[in-house]
Amino acid sequence: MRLPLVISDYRQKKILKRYKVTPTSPVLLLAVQVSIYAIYSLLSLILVYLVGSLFFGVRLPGSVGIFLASYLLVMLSTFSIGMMVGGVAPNMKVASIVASVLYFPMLIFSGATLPYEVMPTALQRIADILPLTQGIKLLKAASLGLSIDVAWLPLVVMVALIIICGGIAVKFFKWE
Amino acid sequence: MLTFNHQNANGAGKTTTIECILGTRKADAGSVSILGLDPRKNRKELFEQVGVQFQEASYSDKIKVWELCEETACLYRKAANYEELLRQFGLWEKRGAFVNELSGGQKQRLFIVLALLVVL
Repeated sequence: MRLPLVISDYRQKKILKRYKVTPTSPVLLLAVQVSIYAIYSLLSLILVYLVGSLFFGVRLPGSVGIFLASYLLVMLSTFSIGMMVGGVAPNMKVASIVASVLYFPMLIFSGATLPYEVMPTALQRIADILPLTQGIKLLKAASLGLSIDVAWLPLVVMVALIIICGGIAVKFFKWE
Repeated sequence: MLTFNHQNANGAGKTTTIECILGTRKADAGSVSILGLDPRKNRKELFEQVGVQFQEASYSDKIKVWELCEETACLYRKAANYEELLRQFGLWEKRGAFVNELSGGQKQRLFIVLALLVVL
């Protein structure tokens, strides 16, 4: 959620205007923000896992490598939505409104808060369209060690999102 | 060294002209070439050799003088020594201060330093 705010704040403060007359590229600026939030994200993953396994006896039967790869993919695709907003929003206020509109419904309906399994079928159909829902399905499949046939659709959705949103962010990047 | 002095009345379009030359604004007509390069098409190559100081000082909230110098210097393949420049412009003692604590004149001097990082 913070990712689009920083860049659109830079845009409002005319920092991006100054960057435009340097050799910097939008890819570099966006990559820097993604890296910072990726570090936060991985740290919180480690923390959640430690608390879960030490105090609640949580075990993940699936392969660690596949889980981490899925986590990275879901993380990048969620960030790509933020990058898309950050790349074009004129200031922090607009960025925060658009990001909230995009992220909060996803947080509520994707299964990140309310479990997907307890939702009525109609609500599940709506939730299926949201990218984060697919991301969570992918993570569940990876953590339980399920085979690829279950996970191919979420995988495709995640990759498509990264390409589309990342592409929009770079192609339509506004320096001012 | 050659210096150009572009003067005109208020609102005549001095800043707009410069911004069209730099490529930060799209001109309605005409073409621009700096060092044989188009500022919009060959931006990355051109601005390795051209430094710019805008009218407005733009910087992150809590950034320090030396941090802003480092941040700007690393954008270039080869940058001048910013410590030398800070000394030259009487800002060496202020290198650890927050940019927003500098006086108006000091800020302008700092941004001249940043623009001169291209001059090796």
